[in-house]
Amino acid sequence: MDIVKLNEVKKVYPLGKVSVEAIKGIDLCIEKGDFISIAGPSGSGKTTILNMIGCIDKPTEGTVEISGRCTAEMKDKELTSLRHEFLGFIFQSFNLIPVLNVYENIEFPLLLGKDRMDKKEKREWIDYLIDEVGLAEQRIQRPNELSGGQRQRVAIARALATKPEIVLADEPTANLDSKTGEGIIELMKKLNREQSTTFIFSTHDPAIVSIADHVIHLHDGLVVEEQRRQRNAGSR
Amino acid sequence: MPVLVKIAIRNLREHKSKTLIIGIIIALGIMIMLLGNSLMETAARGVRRSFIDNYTGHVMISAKTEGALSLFGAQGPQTGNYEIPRIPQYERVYKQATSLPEVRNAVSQVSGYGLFSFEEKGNQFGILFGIEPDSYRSMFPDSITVTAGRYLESGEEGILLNESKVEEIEEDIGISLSPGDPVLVSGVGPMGFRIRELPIRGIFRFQQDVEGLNQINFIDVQSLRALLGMVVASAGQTNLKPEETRFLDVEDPESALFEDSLVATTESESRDFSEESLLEILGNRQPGSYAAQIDRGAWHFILLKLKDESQVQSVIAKLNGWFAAEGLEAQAVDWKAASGGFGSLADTLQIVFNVLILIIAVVAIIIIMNTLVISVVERIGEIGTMRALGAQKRTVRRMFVFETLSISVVFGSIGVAAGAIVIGILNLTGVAAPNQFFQILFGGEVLHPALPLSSLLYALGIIVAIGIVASVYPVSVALKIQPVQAIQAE
Repeated sequence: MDIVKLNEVKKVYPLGKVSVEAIKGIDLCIEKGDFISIAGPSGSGKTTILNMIGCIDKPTEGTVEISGRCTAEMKDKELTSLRHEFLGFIFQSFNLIPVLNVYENIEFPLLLGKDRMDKKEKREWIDYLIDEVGLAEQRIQRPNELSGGQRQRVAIARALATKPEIVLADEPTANLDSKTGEGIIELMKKLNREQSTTFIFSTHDPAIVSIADHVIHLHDGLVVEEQRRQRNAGSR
Repeated sequence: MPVLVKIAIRNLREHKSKTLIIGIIIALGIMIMLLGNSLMETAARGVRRSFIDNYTGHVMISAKTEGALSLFGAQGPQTGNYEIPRIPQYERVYKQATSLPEVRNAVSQVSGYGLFSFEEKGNQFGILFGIEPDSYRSMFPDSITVTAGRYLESGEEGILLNESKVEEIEEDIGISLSPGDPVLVSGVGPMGFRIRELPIRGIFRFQQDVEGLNQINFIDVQSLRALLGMVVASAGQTNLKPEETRFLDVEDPESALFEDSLVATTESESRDFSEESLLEILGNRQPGSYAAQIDRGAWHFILLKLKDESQVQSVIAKLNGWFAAEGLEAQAVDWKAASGGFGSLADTLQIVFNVLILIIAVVAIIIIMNTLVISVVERIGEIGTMRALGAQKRTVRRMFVFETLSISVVFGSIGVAAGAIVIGILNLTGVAAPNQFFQILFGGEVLHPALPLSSLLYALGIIVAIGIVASVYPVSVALKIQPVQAIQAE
C-alpha cells in the first residue's frame, strides 16, 4: 500500500530576480513499512523532497498524497494536524527544545493536539522509547548535557512518540562521526522492523545508503535511479 | 498548557539578562505611574473637597455668560470683571433650585472687588464675598476660624477681614486693624465709585491655607450691593425711541434752548388747571422716592450642596433644562467652573501627567517588543521545530503571550509593591508644597498621598495591557516562522 505518493511534483524557489528549480518533476511511490533512502549530492533536491512529504513546504506544481490524503488544498491548520498525526521528524541538527530534558523532549509531541493516551500509558510508552534508544540514565538531562549521538537518539525517540506512520529524517547522521551514525541508522532500521513505521531519510553518505531497502538517487531535482532491495528481518 | 508554561518560565530563567532588562523597565515604569497617579489623585480629591466644602458647594447657579464665570468673576480668581451679571428672576430660580430633592443646602452670594483706603497712607485691594451670615455659615460651617472679634451677624453692616489682608495692611501701610475699627471700602459699579465706611466685626483665617484665596474678605451683602451699585433703578436698561432722542441731534443746543424749535403746542385733554391736578402730573413726590434703591433681591450666585455627590451632573442638567424651558438667562455649573482656575489647574496637570505616562509606556513597550523580537529570532529553530512537530499557531502565540505576561505581571507587581511602600512613607511624612503653585495643586500646604483602589486597578490594567501589547509584534514574527526554517536555522 502506498503511504506516500508524489505526482509530477515540481518546486521552484524565487531567488531575487531569478527562479531556482529545486525539483523539476518527480513521481514517487513509497510503501508502508518502507525503509527508504533518498540519496544525492548537495543541491540535488533531497531536503526539498523531504519537506514536501513532511508537509512543511508545498510543491509549486503537482500533488503530494499522505495516507491517501492530498495536501495541495490544505490550510496551515490542517497541514499542522496532519503532521502531528502521521509524521515524525528527525533533523540534521537534532532540533531539541533546549529548556526541556530528555523525557520532556520526547513527551512534547504527545502534549500537542488531542490526548490519545492516558497518563500511565504515556509514561510507559516514553519510558519504553527511552530504553529503546539507550538513554535511561540520561532521562532528566538537558540537551546541552548530551553528546551529538545522544541528542540524535532523543530526536529519534521524539519522532516516534506519537506512533507516526512515517518518520522523516533529514541527513540524520551528518553531524555525527561514522560509527555513531551507523549506530543511529541501525536503530532506525530496528524500529522500522519492530513498529512497521515507514522511514524516509535523506543522506549523501554512500555507506548509509547501502543499508536502506529502497534507494532513490536524485540529481539536479530529478530521479536518476531507483533501487529496491529485498526487505529481510535481519541486518544488511 | 502546562508544558508551554514550563517552556516559558524556563526560557525566562535561561535568558536572565534580557528578562531583567525588561522587568526593571516595567517595574520602574509602574512604580512611577502609581506614585504620580496617587499624588495627582490625592491632590485632586483634596482640592475638590476643599472647594466643595468651603467655597463653591457642588453646583453654582449664575446668570448666563458668554465666557466662563467663577465665584471670583470672569477669567478666574486673579483678575476680575467688574460687572458680574445678576441672576435673573432670582426668587423663581432659588425656589426651583431648592425644590430639587437632591439638594441638601443652598446659599446665595454676591462677589466683587473692593479697595480698602487709609487716607493718604495707601490702599489695599481685596476680594469681597457679600453674604447673609447665618445662611452662609450653615452652608460652610468649617471654612473659617475667627481669630479676633466675631462672625458677622444677620442684618448688620460689617466686614470680616482676612488675617492675611490685615497683615498685609500692617506691613505695607503701617496701620494695625482690630475688630471694631472702621474701614473705608470703595467699590466700582455701573454708576461709578461708591464708598462705604464699615466696622470690622472680626478677623478670620481660612481652615485651608491656600495663598490665592487669602484675598477673600466677607462683607454683609447689602453693603456690597451698595458698593457695586446694585440698585433697583439701574437694574434694567432704558431704551429710548428715535423720536425721543431726536432733540439730541440739534447742532447748537444752547441757542435752541431759547428758540421755539424745541417747543411744541398741543391740545390739553383736561380742563382742570387747579394746583392739585397739576401737581398730580408729577406723581409720587415723597422725598427719595426717585432715589435708586438697593436691590435686595440681587444676587450673583446661588451655591448648592447636594445630598449625594454622584448626582451633580444630573442636577446641573435638570437646572439648565429648566432655565432653557423657562427662557431664563441663567446657568448651572459644577465646582470646577465655580472655582475658576483652581479646579481646571488640577485637571490640566493630571492630563499632562497622563500624557507623560503614556509616552513612557509607549517607549517601554517598544523596548520590550524589540527585546522580545530578538528572543524570537534566536529561537527560530525551536519555534520551527515545534510547528513541524504539530504545534498550531495558537500554541506558539500562547507561549509567547504567557512569557510576556509573566514578566509584566511579576515585575509589575514588584513595581506596585515598591510604589505602595513609597506612598505609605510619604503618607506618614507628608509632602510639603514648595511654592504657591503646589499649594494650589495640593489644596493646602502639605499633601498626604493615599493609594486609592482606582490607582491600583489602573496599574494592574496597565501591567496586563503592556504584557499583551508588547507581545503582539514578537508573536506575529514568531507565527511567520515556517517549519522549513527550523531545518535551515540550526
